[in-house]
Amino acid sequence: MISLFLDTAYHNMIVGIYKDTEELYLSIEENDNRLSEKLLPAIKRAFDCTNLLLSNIDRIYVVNGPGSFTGVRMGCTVAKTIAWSLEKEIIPISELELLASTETTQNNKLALIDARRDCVYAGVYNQELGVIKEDCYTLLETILSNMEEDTVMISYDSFDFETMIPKINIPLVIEKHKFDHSIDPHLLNPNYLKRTEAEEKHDSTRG
Amino acid sequence: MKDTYIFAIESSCDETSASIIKNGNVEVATVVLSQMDIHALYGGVVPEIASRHHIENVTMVLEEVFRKAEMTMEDIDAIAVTYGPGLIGSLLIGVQAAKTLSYIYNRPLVPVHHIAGHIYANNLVKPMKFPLIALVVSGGHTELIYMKEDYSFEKIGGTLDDAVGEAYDKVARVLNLPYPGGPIIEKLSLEGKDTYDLPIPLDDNSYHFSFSGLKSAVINLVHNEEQRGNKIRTADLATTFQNRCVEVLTKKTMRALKEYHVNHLIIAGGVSANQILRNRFQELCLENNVELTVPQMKYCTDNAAMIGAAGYFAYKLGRRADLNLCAKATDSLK
Repeated sequence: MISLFLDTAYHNMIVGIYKDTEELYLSIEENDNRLSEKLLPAIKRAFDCTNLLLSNIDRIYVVNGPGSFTGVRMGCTVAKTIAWSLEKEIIPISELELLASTETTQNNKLALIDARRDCVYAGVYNQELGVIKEDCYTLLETILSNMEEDTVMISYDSFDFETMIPKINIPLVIEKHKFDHSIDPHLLNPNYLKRTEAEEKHDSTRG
Repeated sequence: MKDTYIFAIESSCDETSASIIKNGNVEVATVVLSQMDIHALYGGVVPEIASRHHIENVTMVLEEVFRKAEMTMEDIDAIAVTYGPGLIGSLLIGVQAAKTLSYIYNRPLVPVHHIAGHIYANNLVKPMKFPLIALVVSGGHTELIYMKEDYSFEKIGGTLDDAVGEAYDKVARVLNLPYPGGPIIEKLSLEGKDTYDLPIPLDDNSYHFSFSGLKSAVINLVHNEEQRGNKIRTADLATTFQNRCVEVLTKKTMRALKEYHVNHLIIAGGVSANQILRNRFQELCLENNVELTVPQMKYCTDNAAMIGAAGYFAYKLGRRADLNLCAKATDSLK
């Protein structure tokens, strides 16, 4: 099975092509504010380098959040457009799970993304990327106070405590999701984990 | 001659739209998914909410337009997309979808300026005759443009502050009327009288507009009346405000037609749906022997049909973008 792997949600712009779990191509670039400009050329480069066509792939793994709202939308728009128009399978992947894919520990892993105002996006995964605690948007203090002592914390962001920089392991993520059923491309949407400020204010004023 | 089919996408604000246009003047199919009801809850467009709805809707809108047209991407000659100006988060969805389709199907990608789209909406009514003057009036724009030929845009005047549609929305909010302000103010104005003392905004010899002062005058008037314990006659204020807007728009546009020796006027943009403005222009154009074109009501608000019409002429002129195409929140019309 040939897969396209896309992640534009957070720290990196990742474009990968895999045959089952074998890496045929992988490009990881640090995300900057030119993501929308660079994403399609990066995808084209991936297919040019592997002498493959988009029509040759069987499925797309796309990170659909949490992370930068705009970043998540870029990857999801491209992925759902490809999946819809070429009738390809599409599987959403959590950015926090990708962070937790580091191989260096047998302990549970708490993946963290700074969501500002003392809040984080957080998820806890075990070594095989099984979900120990579902991804959530929460106060940092709350998630830390509920953590077991030997949990390893992973993040690209800097916090006042020690975090491991993730060494992402895409084959491990693909292995975990290889039997997942594709979702309808129309229903592939970002998982922001957070409502917009306007919605929060609107609801709070309505009591 | 072989027909040319343009597939167009528009997502610059709160409408997700796709269209297929034949030869720049025949609408094969269009789908517009408006978020107006959602944003009405917040009194105006909330950019992050708009972006979220665009991505949820985008592929469904694309699919629906091909279904309606009974066509496939294989029938399409080029893909046109609004690259700006507009809300950046909204624009990005349409631009990424268009770039993706351009790459998959190896079709030319044609970038279209949103205002060029509004202007070329008139080409879906009848062929545009040059030279012409275009008055673009919407929530984001108030511009007078001289066109000597296709895709030649000489801006001869524009708003120095608020766009006219924006002023309608803000005045509506002060009067506790729902968003969008244009249709409700127009409706109320039919029941009112021009009895309030409001200035004609920037009533000078330039082709520029300014609606911020008029809007502030309405706000001050409302506050002063409230402080005096007087009840605002909403319909009368709507009539007065609208008359001032229509007066300055028609006055400067008719002068531009005369000074530029042009006898074809087109009106474009969301505010061109305003029937009072249309009627006044019809009277004046008849008096002055000027041919007037106004878009059909369905093409006044944002839609991809107009992007397909503009995109056709841009395509014929060889305008292209590559996969690096970037959405732009602001960009001049060229």
